Amino acid sequence: MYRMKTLEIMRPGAKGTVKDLDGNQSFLSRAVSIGFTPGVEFTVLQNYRHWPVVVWLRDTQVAIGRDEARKIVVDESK
Amino acid sequence: MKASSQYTGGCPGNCSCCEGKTNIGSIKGDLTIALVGQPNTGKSTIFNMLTGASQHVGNWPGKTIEKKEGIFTLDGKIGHVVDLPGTYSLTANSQEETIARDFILHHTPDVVVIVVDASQLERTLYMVAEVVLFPVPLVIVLNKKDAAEKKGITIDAKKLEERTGVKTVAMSALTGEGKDELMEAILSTDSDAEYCKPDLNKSFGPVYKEVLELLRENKISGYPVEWAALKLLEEDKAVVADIKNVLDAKARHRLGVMLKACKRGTITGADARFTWIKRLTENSQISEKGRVKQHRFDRLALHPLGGTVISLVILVLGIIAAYIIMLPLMIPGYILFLLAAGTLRDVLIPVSPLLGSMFCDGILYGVSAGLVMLGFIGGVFFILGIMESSGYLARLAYLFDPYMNRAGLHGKSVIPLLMGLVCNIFGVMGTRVIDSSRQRLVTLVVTPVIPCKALLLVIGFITAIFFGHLAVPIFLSLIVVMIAYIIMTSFFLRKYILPGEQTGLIMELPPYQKPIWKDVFMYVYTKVKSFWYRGFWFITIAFFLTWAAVYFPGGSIENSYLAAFGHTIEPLGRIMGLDWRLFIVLIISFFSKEATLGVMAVIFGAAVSDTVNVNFISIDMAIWAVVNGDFGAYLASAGITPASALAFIYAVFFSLPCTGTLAIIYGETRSYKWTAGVLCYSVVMTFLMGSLAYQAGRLIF
Ligand SMILES: Nc1nc2c(ncn2[C@@H]2O[C@H](COP(=O)(O)OP(=O)(O)OP(=O)(O)O)[C@@H](O)[C@H]2O)c(=O)[nH]1
Ligand SMILES: [Mg+2]
Repeated sequence: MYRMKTLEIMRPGAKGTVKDLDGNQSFLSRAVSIGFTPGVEFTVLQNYRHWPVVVWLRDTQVAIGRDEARKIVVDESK
Repeated sequence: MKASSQYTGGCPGNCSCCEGKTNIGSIKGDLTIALVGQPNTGKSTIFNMLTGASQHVGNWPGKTIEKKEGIFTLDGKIGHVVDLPGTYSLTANSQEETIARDFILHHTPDVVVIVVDASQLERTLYMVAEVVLFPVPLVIVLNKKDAAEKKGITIDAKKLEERTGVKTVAMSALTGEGKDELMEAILSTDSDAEYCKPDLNKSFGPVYKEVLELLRENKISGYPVEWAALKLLEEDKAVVADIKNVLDAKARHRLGVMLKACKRGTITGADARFTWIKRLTENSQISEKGRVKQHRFDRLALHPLGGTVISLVILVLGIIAAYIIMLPLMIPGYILFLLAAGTLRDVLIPVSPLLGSMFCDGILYGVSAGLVMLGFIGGVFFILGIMESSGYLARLAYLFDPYMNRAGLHGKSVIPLLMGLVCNIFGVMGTRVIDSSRQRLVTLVVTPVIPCKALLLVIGFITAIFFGHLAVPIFLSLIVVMIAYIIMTSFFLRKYILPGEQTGLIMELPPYQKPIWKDVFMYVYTKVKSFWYRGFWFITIAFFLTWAAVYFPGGSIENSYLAAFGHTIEPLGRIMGLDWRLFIVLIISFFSKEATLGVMAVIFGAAVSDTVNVNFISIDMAIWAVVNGDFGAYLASAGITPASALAFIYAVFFSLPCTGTLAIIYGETRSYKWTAGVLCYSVVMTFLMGSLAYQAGRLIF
């Protein structure tokens, strides 16, 4: 069993998989080309209130704004 | 190759990639080579290595934003290399992406070199998955071999070459290792090679074939069909519009139905590419398996509080260091200044008052102010270059993101605003790093309100003279009003002039590295050079014109054209409580902020006493001369009320951008409308801020 949530509310240190993305075409295209595609694994490195979320994604750190992180639906692995 | 039967490329003449030069590499026997790849993979480093050019290199994604051509010799032939902006994909989401894509599409280079970061192979191969759909000879460069090996990744270029069918070389542009192999690969590319392509058929299902069929039936030209089909399914606006345009009504309708049936094509397309990448890198030493590695420093540097403290410390230390570094560079400026103020003047004036005064007051002062600024810019950009090359600059974008959000911008905008503190010209040019054109324009309009170094000195000096220890609260009030001004201006722009959706930050934070000194010096050199061409001459010319306006026709300020003009327009200044002298100074500050204090000295000095030494001009050292002298006392006794002084301070702070900045605003927007808009807006704001401050001052004092 897993709970569905968005990247925005994940705690630092948590690992997860991207499940789905919301939003319009231009957001989708920006997000997928930097590596947020369904099925990809990532680790949340930092998530401070008001600041962008920092994740480890495909061999590098990526910072993603909160509004953007809210559009990324994730599965948190255990 | 099958796909190439219809696709011939060729520039339609209206693409964004060919301003001016249309015929790159048209001479027979020459080769045109395009460098493409994701941001920060090392394209410009390779370009510089091949051509000996000095393209901007740094550790920050998205530096190159225009295409740049260079020449090198390749086995007796001439190679034209074109450095293109880094792009994550060939979807045109931003201006840079459009430039890169249009170049590959319309200029059909002889060889496309795709640069991939070997230390982040999986991510950076994404571009390759798209470029293999083009019927052009390709070379894959696995760059940053050294960094990959340090990470413990073994690079197997041979294996990748076997699997993709694309010539592949591993290299390190930093050390030059693999340069010869790259040359060899470029020469031995084969235009009939068959590449392994992403299985779009499987990912998209039957709709892909249908679209492909439709494109072939209608003999679509200008695009490779497979790529065009992918872009259509990914809802790429430009391609959809373009192709719908050439189809007849029936076909257009059919295409519409097909595209409607394909939901979320963007995600499917990305998925197809990553599946392809996985297939290529599977069961091989090519790629490392996802180890999480955050640098220890980042835990602090990216902490909201700790990181902000660190960034402020770095910035303050940086400015101090910049001053120390630039000192030797500024010495020529100072020497000139002293000569102009002393010996030379004593010698020249008796010989010819007009020429002597023109040479000393009109020319030398301006040149020395320009030289000092040139030195300062060298120092500041040396520090900024280190921050960029090490990778720290990208962290600033993250740290300042929430503050920038308040102003409707995102973190990347902090970089131009920071540069604006040095000189607004760089701030305006720096807006290029912002990828959304809407946010770019907003940043460009608010940048001129950031006080540049020259303006900060002027404001600091005047507040200190007029308000003594009240200077600090007044200065703080300026900062608060400035922030409100930026937020409101941005809100107004986004609401009424540039409607659109908000885009937030999505940015790679590149790994730290030891600063690469060659890149840092190159950076300093290009900045100093661009100030020389764009700022220096504006400053010296402004000084000269001001001198002329003061000197003619009578040889002194009281009966000068400037004074006559000042008296004529005094009623306007009165709105803000300014007499003609202050108002003239305000107007001069439009031409050059550096000239402001000098003019004040001339105007007030002459008005108050003949004995006042007016030989000082606003540059740093002169500030001390002024403080040591009686200038402050004269100003204070010149009959200016505190309310007028406050109004003057606010008006100067929010005044027009200087002429150099305005010229750059035009240079960056290429739009008279925007430039005139900024001009009018700041005229109105100057009067508004000045009058409000005047009224507030009358209530307070
Ligand atoms: N370790 C290592 N670093 C490299 C190598 N090549 C380039 N770099 C570094 O990678 C960073 C990016 O290099 P650039 O040449 O500016 O990259 P670019 O692809 O032109 O980047 P954009 O113009 O932003 O798209 C710089 O800090 C370079 O010093 C290499 O072979 N090894
Ligand atoms: Mg570059």
